[in-house]
This record gives sequence, structure tokens and C-alpha cells, in this order.
Amino acid sequence: MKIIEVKHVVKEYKKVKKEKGLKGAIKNLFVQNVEYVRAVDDISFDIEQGDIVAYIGPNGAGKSTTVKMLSGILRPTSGDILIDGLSPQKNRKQVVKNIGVVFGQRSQLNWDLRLGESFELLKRIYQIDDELYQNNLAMFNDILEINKFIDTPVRQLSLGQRMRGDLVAAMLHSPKVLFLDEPTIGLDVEAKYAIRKFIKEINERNATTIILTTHDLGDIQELCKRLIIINEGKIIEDGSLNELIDRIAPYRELIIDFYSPVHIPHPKAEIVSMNEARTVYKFKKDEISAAQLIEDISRLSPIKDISLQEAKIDDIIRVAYKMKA
Amino acid sequence: MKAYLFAAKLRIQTALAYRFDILSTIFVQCIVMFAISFFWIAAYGGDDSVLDVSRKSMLTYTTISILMGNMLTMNVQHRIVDSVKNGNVAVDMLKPVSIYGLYLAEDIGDFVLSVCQKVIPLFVISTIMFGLPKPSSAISLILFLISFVFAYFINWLLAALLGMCAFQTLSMGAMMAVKSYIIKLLSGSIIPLWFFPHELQVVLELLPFVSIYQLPLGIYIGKYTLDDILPRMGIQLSWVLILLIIFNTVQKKMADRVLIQGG
Repeated sequence: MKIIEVKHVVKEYKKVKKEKGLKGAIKNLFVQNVEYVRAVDDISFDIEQGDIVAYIGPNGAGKSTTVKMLSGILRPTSGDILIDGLSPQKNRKQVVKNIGVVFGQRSQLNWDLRLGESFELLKRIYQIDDELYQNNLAMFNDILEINKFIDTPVRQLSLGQRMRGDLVAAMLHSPKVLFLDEPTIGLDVEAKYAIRKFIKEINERNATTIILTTHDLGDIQELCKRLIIINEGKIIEDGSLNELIDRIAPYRELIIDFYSPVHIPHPKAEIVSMNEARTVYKFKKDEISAAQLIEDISRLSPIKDISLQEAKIDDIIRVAYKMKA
Repeated sequence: MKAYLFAAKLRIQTALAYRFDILSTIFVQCIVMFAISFFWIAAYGGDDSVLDVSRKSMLTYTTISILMGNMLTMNVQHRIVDSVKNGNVAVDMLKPVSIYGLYLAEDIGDFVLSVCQKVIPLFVISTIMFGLPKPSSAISLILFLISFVFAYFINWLLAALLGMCAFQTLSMGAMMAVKSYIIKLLSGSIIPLWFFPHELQVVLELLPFVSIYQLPLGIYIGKYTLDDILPRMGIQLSWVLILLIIFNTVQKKMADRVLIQGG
């Protein structure tokens, strides 16, 4: 079932061009150079219920703008968005009942209150019944251990604790769709791990659809089946991570340590570098298997040690970002 | 509804943490109250009554005006401007409730708190200094209370409308201070309009500001006759409705203009 449908969505911003210096500032008081910038330029995609989708792109590509339009905060200049069959712009109150949003860079928790009190307010705002509320809190506590700091005022929480609190706040009403806008930004390894575990768990238990924007490629590798890459407001890639790797970087690297420096070429592998007794081969997965390659080489010279490297996801993403739509 | 009540309650709870604020406000408000009261005592000089208003009534007018001022402090404009400036308006819009309803609930929380913490102490102090500020009759007290509710909404809507300008301009700067002085001066909160030149009075009577302070206060001290009160309250109610319509239209327009600051 399609839970999110996006059709030809465009978002234009008016941008006032400021001129330099005092002279420019005075000039700007009277004449303004207005420019229209397309933050999001005709994007379309569908997302199935229960998917975890990474929505990635370089800074300023239009990721957050898209998330804000999907969650009904911003109004697209043109195009249609449907969340579970409803437009988040026309039926904001209805739609936000079915979605949860976490912005890594801002909190929906009340700074002055204890964490638990923020949850209590949300309970009333979303009209969550007691049983569901208690069950959800208990479940989230299992994964995120929020009970340790539930009585602490939000202003005194560490970033990792605050982010856990924000995740719980976004999921308290058991929404069908969860938007995570850079949820692991600035977090330590431990907190990142907890948050990834949380995302996996709620996806498995409740079939919550999750849209994740992130710069952390570990998040993508561990969580997402599908990848949408956006750059300069346009979607440039949409598919699974493996597909993308196969297409952009269908290579693997085999690093072999011999007992002595030798030069052993292979017709189906390219030698990338030779350094003393270490040789690095680059080969295509569909042309030859790693096992075959090792076998062929070991017949010619004894091998001391080997390691196999997948194409680095960073490199793949970097290549993808450079491609234009 | 529960959500709005709880928001108001949380607001009270939060504000209780700031005790110093209360003491300093009471202190400052006392000084203002004394200054204006002694100004009127001096201005009346030997006369007991000016323009049908007795000195005692004028002191009552001043005291109640100060008390009303403390109840009519609106946070909504700052709330909107701040959340537009730092981008938190995004978070507010994610809730399945009216965001302005939430802001109103918070202001009502402040109102309740202000009555308990500032208005009652100030009332006691003024009674000790100048005697009990009695209403002219039981009917005027009831009419005053009704009129005060209207006044509250006019004031709130004006504040909300001004705050919503921030969606357009992103910052409000001195506009908010200017607005509060305009209201103070033109609403008769310090000097009642009957001391103003006649032509000016006619114009000012038509503006919504009079409905915020002078009308409820005039009713309280019995300045207006019953025949006079009803049409005036009619104008007041019309202002509530007009502002409500403007507010609704602007609010819909502004939903298109939401810009989120900071990513």
C-alpha cells in the first residue's frame, strides 16, 4: 500500500539579494533585488507502507524542505502530496495525527519542563488513551532507557538524552509515518546505536514507515532498503543501496600480501597498486568471483594474507552527488 | 480541550519558577500606581469633581486600570515572533491542534497566574493606600466583567495580529513597544479620553483601543448611564468580531508564507 505519494512537487523561495557594504545596505532599503530559488524542483516518488527510506543529498539540496512539505509545515508552490490519502496542507490536523517528526536540530520538548511532563502534554494533544500511552512508554523504555532521565528538566539533558526524548515524543501517538531529519547529528556512538536500534524495532513491531534524512552513511547502510538521492532540488537516484553500488561502483578490491614482491597480472583484474609484497587488485563482481581470483593467483604464487574491500559507500555517494539529474 | 487546559496548567507551573520576576513587577507597578494616583490628586486640587467624575472615582479608575494592565499582558506576540525567528513554528505546526488555540491557552495560564501573584497583592496595597476601589453598583460590576472579557479578546487579537506580521518581516524590533504605548495612550488607560479635545475624542471612540481600557473602567466607576453603556458595548462586541474576521483571514494567508529559519 502506498502511504506517501508525491507528484511533481515544486517549492520556490523568494530570496532578496543583499548588496555589499553600507552603500548596498542603504540601496537595499529602497530597491530590492528579488530572486526566486527553487529549493525543490519537480520531484515525484511513492513510498510503500513499512519501508525505511533514506532521503539523502548534500547540504542545501532540499531534503529538509521536502520533509517540511510532507509534514504539512510548508506549502508547496505547486504539485500534490498525499499522506495516507490526505493532503497535509488541506487536512493538517488530520494528517499530523498520523505522522511523527523529529528534527535533529530542534526539539519539540518544552525546555522548562521535566521530560515526562512534555510527554503528558503530548498525550493530551494527541488524545492518546491511557493504555496505549503506558504500553508505548514501556516499550520505548526497553530500547532507549528513558526512565533514567524522565524526571530531569529538558534543559539539563545531554544531546543524546534529548534526542531519545524527542524520538519518544514523536512516536508516543503510534504514527504510521515517522520523519527523521538528521536524527543522529552530533551524537556519540552509543547514542547512535540506541537510535538505530529504536528505528529498527518500531519498524518491525508496528510496520511504521520511516523516512530518514541523514549525512551519516552508517545509518543508511544499517537501516535503509531504499535510497532517494536529491541534489539541487531534483531527484537524481531512487533505488536500493545495492543497486546503486552495482551501477556506480561495481568494483571490489582484493588486497593480497605475498611473501615477496612479485608481479602477477590477471586478465580479469586490474592492478591498482603494488607496494613491496602487497598488491591491490580491482575487479568487477559480475566478471569474476573473489574466490576464483584468489584461487588463480595462489596457483602462481603463495599468498600470506588477503582482505576484500567493498566499494566505500562514501565514494559512491560522492559520485552520485556529482551526477546531475 | 484537555490539551489546551493542560497547556495552560503547564504554563502556570513553568512561570512559578520565576519568583524574582513577580516581586520586581509588583514593586514597579506600585510605583506607577502611586505616581498616577498622586498626579490625579494634584490635578484635582481643591475640586471634588471634574467633568462629573469625583476624585474618589478617578483614584478607583487608576487602580483598576493598573490591575487590568497586569491581567492584559499578552505573550502571544512574543511567542509568534520568537518561534518564527528561531524556526520553532515548525514544531508547533506539527501538533493536531490549533497553534493559536495553544498560544491563547498559554496566555490564559499567564492570566490566572497574574491574578494570583500580582493583581491580588496590588489590590491589597492600593486598598491600604487609597481605600477600597469599589464599583459604583452591583450592575456596573457585572457589566464591567462582561466588558472586560471582550476587552481581553480585543487585546489578544491585536497582539496576535501584530505577532503574525513576523511571518512577513521575520523580526518586529520596536513595533511591539510602539504598539504597547499606542494602546496605553489611546485607550484611556492613564488619562481618560473625556479629558481629550472633543474632535479627538470622536475619532478615538471609533478605534478599538478605547474598548480595551476606558469602556470597562468607565462602566466600573459609573461614568456611563445604562442607556449609554449598551451601544458602547455594541461597538466593543463589533470590534471583537471584526478583529476575529481579520485574524482568520490573515492566519490563512500566513500559512502560505511560513518560512523556516535555520534549516
